[in-house]
Amino acid sequence: MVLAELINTYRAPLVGLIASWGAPWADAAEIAQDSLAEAYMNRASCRGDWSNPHVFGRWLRGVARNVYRNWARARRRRLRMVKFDSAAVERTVDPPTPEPTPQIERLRQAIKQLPVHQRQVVLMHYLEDTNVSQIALLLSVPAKTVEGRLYQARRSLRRMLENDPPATLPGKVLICL
Amino acid sequence: MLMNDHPEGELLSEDEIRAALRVYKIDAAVFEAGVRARIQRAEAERAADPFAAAPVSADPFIRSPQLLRVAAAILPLPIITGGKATALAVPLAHASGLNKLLGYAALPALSLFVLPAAAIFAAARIRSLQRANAPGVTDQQAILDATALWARRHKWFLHGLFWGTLALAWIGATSLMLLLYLISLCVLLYVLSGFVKLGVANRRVIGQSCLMGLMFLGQVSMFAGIGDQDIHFIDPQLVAAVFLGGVLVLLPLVIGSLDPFARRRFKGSPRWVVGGLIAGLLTPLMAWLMSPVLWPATPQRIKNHVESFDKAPFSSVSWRQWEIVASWAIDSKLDPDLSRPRRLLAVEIAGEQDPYILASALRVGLLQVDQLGQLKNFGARRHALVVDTDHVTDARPILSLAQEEWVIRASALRDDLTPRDRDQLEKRLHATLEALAESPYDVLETALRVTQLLEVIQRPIDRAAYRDRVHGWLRRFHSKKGGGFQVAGGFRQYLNEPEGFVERFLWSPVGSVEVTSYAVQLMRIYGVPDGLDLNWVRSFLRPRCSYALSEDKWMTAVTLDRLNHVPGVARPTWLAMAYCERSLIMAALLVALCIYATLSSARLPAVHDHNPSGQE
Repeated sequence: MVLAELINTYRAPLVGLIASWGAPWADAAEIAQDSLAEAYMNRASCRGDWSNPHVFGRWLRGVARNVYRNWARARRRRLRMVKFDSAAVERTVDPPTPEPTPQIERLRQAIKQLPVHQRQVVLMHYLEDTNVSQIALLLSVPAKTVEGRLYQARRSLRRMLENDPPATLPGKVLICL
Repeated sequence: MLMNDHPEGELLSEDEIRAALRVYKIDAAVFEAGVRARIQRAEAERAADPFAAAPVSADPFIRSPQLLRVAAAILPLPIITGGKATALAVPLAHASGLNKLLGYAALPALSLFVLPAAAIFAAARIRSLQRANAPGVTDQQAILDATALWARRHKWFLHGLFWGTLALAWIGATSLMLLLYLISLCVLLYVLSGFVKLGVANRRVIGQSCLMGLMFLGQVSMFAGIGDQDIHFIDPQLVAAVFLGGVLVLLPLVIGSLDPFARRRFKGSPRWVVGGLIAGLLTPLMAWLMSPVLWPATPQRIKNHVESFDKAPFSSVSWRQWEIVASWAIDSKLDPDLSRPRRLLAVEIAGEQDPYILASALRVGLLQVDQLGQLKNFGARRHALVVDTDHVTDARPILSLAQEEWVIRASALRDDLTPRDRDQLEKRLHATLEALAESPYDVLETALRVTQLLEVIQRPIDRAAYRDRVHGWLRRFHSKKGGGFQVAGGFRQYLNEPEGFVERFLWSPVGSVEVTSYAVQLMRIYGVPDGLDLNWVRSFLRPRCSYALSEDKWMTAVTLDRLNHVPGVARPTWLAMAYCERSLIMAALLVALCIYATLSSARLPAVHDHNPSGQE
């Protein structure tokens, strides 16, 4: 598996996965690039045959998780040391986006409120219409599981958009069941 | 479409979701370029890395044992490699479980040995290079940064380690603390020696680390009150001497690292000046710590000490302490020349005639019969003590035996006690002994004096009748608690236990050397009580460097000898001694390991010595 192929296979789901962990989109792309570079450079340390997509997907997810944790830790430290409006900084770093319609903005908020498993697959799948099987490789779960989560996510989003999302945690959980 | 068997009406349209996420879509070309740029940058760093050029392997860690790889992922590599390598050079360790645990086992020693050395030496180097306006600051800054970063990442661990070390030393579990450090250092040294074999670490890094760690442990051992609560036959301060000895041995091996500390102040060979200063400070300190070994209380020295008693700065206390040593010297047939003490006694007789001093002098036979006539009030006091025609004081205890003892002894010396006088004194002395039953003060000393005085008046005590009682007192006054720089295992003078819980907790009933001496003399007469571990007493009487200039040095030495010659008492076995001195043994092992690690690394292929200015 050559580098270009790896990048094309994992680019979108990896960025979506990292965004689902809570990184802003611009940072998620940076973290994904770091992770891919590190995973590729250290592929010899990967347990098993790294050219097997199942093995490399799991390896890449582990590396991405570590890189994300380091990033999150550094971010917390920065926030502790310097008091600034992190949202404003992240807005500045993010590429300029056209003003979203109220419906789209509402949908984005609803996606943010999805349970983590559902949010993951939504962001990984719909960012660039990534194949379900590629998502399954990265998450180390069967493709059917990914499909099930996507279905539940869409159903939850429909319910959340039709009714105002409940403010309490039990309410949020119930609406996603 | 997904889940086609479910009605689409329940689901949100996929197009809507795509529309919501469209703005976040990634530019594939930019993304790929970013990944490739990162890989190129990292490969360039790797190519400039000594690992890549090392003859052992293009990537030594790939073929290194799993533990080394895990350790390489955990340890701060820039520190170990002198700023020549970064974590990028090491493939990520994909290990878990036991391997990871073993890797973490090196962290205590790492934080104790490597980190302080790296931080201090790197900071000094930076200052030195900045002053010299020389290149190479970046590498040293990398070491300093890596140290700070590693310390930040593991700050909870470091906090736990610091407080844990202090707590273990505080509660007296020093041997446990040293054992943990020893295990940790073994793992660390294994890792470091593995790095040396791979051409990563060098002798100076290991030497510096060991030197700083031993210096720290030496200071902790000196001030933490090590061994105050345990049984020790050798002064635990020797542990500090062993650590500092290790520092002295390692000093010439890392002497080159000392230049940055002194370049501004000393021209020529600053490393030797600084090294000499450190050695000059450590040597007398070590000599003091080792004084119980270097200058032990030998019989000849004890004899000289007894003979040199020509002034009593603390009056009767000085006399009492001298008497303990002098009586041993006389009993041991050392035949000391007592002319100086006699002159001192003559001055006392011509002056105040302190009853306590007279008693001490009489006990060691210093007072001669011809001097008795010079004693003031002897007749009157003898009359009050012995003559009792009305039988009023017949069976009453002698209230202040310590003050009256000289009268009884002087009377016995003059041999003018009638059988009736002796009978009456015997009754009163027995009554004194009986009155001690519930007394919390001076019980052991008084019991010993009564026993001795009954011998003096030729009415020896029935030892069997009083044995259980005396044994009870010995057990009751024995203390296994130290504190306040006092050692556990001695016999107390008082039993004044406070009543409150907090007061009792804070109360430190430590023993007294004098009372312990009396207790040992009682044991020679009445035997050793059951349940009393004599090793505690031996531990209390061990030679200590803090006694070097005090009378305690001589008193403990003679009392320990008396204890070891109590009939039926067995000396501790070598095994028991080794167990009790495990801290010392472990400290010696630790130092030996450090020296071995430093010396052995010299024979192995070392990476380029990191010295930009070209000076060793």
